[in-house]
Amino acid sequence: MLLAVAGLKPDEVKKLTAKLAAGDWSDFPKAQQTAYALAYKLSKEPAAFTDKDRASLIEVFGRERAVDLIWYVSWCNYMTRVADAFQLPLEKENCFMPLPKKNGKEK
Amino acid sequence: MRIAVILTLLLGMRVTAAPPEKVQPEPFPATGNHEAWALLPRENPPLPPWAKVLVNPLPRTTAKMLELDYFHRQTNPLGAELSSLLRWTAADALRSPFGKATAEADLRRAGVPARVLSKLGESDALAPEFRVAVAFARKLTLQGHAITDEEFAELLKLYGPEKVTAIVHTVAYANFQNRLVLGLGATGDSVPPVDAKFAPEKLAKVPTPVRPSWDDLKSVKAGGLSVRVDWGKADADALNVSLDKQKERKLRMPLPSPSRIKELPTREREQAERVVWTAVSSGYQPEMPRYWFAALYAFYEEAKVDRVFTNSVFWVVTRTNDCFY
Repeated sequence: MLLAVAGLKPDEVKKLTAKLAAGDWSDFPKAQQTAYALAYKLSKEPAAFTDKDRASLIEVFGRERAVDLIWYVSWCNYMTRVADAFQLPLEKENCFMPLPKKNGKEK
Repeated sequence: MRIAVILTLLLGMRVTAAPPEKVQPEPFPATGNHEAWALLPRENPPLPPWAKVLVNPLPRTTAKMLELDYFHRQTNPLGAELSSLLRWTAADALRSPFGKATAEADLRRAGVPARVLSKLGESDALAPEFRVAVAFARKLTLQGHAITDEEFAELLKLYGPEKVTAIVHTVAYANFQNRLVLGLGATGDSVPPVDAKFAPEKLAKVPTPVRPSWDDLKSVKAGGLSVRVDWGKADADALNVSLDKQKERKLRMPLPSPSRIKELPTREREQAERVVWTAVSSGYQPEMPRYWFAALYAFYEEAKVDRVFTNSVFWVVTRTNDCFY
């Protein structure tokens, strides 16, 4: 859902999710492979995330972007806990971003 | 002639004007607020280890997270004992020593006796009213997708929708924070909740370090992480079918009354009117998502994420957690 909200067309979403679901990300650029591996590791077994993993992450993204990604993946795990608990029906809108601007002013 | 008249008038005024009143000094003069604080040396409270790591790359986000953390630890609507117990349970499930130590310290401050603290992982040792919530917290942390409607109904019956909403957000917060601490490798002792408010106009001026553009990162060739993915057998088509099913799913959480939504500030009300997630969260516990989204918006401003890139990362998280989202 969020990929559609981010601006991808339905066929692009389908293509991307099919590639992601295959679990073999070797066709993706190195940065994406690394970000997906971080998402997997930090979600599955965060205590097993090592100094070596952090160093590899920084090697690709630099210190600030590496921190951004760790923060973001942690955030995703907040949202999925709320979604799993309430099991609310899906919407077509992205409820995690500020409302769109109206008359040039952010609402 | 004219000059003489003016001089005469001025001299006359000088003679007739009343003498200026002598300004009396204030007996006990007050000083400005800033100057007063400068004369009162004080200790800055200790910051938690994660804040010391985050403050350089994400200073404004860190400020908002300190406010969020204080809310969860000090003014959580579940009370100190239950909320700390839930955070401890999530930290235990995630094997986070820092999360457990912090929750234990909070339980100690809440007056929980040592004999209970030594048996936190034993369900039988807990007060009966806490057992269901603690079991829910562990399952939501490790297998949230597997929580059944019956289990949720039991929780709802015991606690009601306001407290259930608080339980869910408290466990979600612990899942966020422990992953952040473990991901950053932030080490150090737990500290008491930091009671600090940050003036928005001053915070807005704090600079965030410049980052490389996302497009530049996409061309990096060096190093990187790799994993062997162990997901179920469901392929993309099967996942799409379950997504469609989710659109038809019946609510297991009652929606808050429209009057509650109406009471929210404009921006939250508008979101709650179009998004069920916000309607439930803000309708039952307005402050919890308010603090949470304040931290999130600060993060978006500072990190300026590429939405397609990060949302594909989100997809991997949902798949790893077997979450429908």
